[in-house]
Amino acid sequence: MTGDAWVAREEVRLLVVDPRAREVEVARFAELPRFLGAGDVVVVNDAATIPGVLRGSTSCGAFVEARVIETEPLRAILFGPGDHTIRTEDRAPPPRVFAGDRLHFPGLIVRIANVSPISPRLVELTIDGGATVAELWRAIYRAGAPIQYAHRREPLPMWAVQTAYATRPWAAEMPSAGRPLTWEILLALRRRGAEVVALTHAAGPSATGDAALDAALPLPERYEIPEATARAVNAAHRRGGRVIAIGTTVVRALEANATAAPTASTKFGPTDRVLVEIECQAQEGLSPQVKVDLLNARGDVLRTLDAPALTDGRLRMTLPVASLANSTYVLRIEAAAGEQTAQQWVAFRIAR
Amino acid sequence: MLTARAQGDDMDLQGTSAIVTGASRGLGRALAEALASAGVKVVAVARHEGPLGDLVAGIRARGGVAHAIAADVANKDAVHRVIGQATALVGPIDLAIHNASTLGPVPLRLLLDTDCEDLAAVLETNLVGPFRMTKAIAGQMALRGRGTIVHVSSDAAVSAYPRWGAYGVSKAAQDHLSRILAAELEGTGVRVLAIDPGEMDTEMHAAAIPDADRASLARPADVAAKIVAMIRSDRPTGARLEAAQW
Repeated sequence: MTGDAWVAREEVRLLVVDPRAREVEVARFAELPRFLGAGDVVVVNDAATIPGVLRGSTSCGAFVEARVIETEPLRAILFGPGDHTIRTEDRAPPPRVFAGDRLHFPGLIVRIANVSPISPRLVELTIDGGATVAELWRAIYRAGAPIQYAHRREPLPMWAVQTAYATRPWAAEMPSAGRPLTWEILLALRRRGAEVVALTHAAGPSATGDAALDAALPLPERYEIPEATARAVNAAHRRGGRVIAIGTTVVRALEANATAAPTASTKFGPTDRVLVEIECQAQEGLSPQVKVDLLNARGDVLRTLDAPALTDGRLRMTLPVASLANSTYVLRIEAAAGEQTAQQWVAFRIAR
Repeated sequence: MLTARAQGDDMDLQGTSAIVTGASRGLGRALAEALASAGVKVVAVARHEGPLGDLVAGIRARGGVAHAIAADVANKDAVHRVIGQATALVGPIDLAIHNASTLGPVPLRLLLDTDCEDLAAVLETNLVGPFRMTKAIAGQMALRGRGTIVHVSSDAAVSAYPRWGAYGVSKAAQDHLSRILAAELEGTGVRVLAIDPGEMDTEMHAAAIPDADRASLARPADVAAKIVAMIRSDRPTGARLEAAQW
């Protein structure tokens, strides 16, 4: 079997929109270097794809499929009987599980740490029985398969879901915009004077089969932008060069970094509780209504928090961060009193 | 002419990551130990788990970082699993040493007596396996602008020894794989070297030449130390180096 049975990677079509010339052109990825040159910076997501689909059982012997979508912390989406040939939205729900339950997979036993309030399919897991992270990776790479969907029946081989520069396995699904980038193209870009740099973004799953959970996608995704990449992107902006993000995961990481990073230098560990204290004064006689939302770095509301009543014009609340993945978050505090409204943002970062 | 040593051990390996194939015994094992002693995080790959366990335990006991992955480099399905797991464990790979290799059936036979399937199997382990693994590693190296790929070669790649046909052909092809990779990756910061370790006192040597005078053979640990020095040197990409001349 060849690596990619359908279209050669660089033959994938490329729609080129030039807003200044008001021109639209259909090209091939192989031609990408023609459109770029000195001063431009191409940013790729170098996350390799985890073969995160594990098939096992609950302690009662019920079948369960876990799709590992993140390893720090360990999170998975659970399914009941069936396999990828059944459409995701038609897959049987997983057996009912609760915090503390064990799941058994080949070479790996995990314990459910918590079940998401969004969906019983989304769980955070801990490795059981004193096993190490190395043993988790060994089990994943021995028995796991890449996430795949019903449009292709034959199992996807590992090499079909990796980019030509795949590095650390952070992605639940392939950062596929980079799939057509062959080294022929990447080296041609560099010869033309364009820089090719990388960040790592833990691209999450594209579907979960659960409407509520699908609506919450993308879940918080960790990312890492190397210093050299940040420098290259900033320099390109300064000189008016173009920054070409290969795929939405790169856009998400760069945007989150651009908007939230300057104020998000505070790091928190998993056992920390973030204390939020805000002064909130309204005109006399009016009592402000306060609403606090937890947003991901893209500005999507992850959940609305219970805001306690004001005490002497101050709001004090604590936010446990144990259930948050490594990422940047924003608290949006909105206060309204009569005609008056006020908004404030607080960005913070979880790093373990 | 300057010796390589005079050119300086200018590359600090401390804290870098390496993958070594064929690491359960002989030169591969010695290389894994030498690299770990130099502060390299080592992923040791071999077909059988048992001997790797001892190796990794030994390195860890000395304060080093090592992980074992049991896999056959000739198995296409294993390649991305090995590299993905290795990268998860020790981070982006800075050094890959393609050391695993097979002689084919011993006693060694004339080419005309060699089964076609045996030649193909030798090429699969000694040439195609390293090629696949390099495909999965060199891209991440080129993106980061640094990395070293080492092919462990042999004098059988250069000299035409009767009865060393399958092995010699595979090693000659691997030398050329090394040169072409080096040419294609010129300017990316990825260095590709072929290193001939010379004759060593190993199980492989005993299988090929059972009546050799073992006292005349180099010890794998000594050769491994030289190879680590070669890797630290500034020898250019595409070079073919001989341990006996170092």
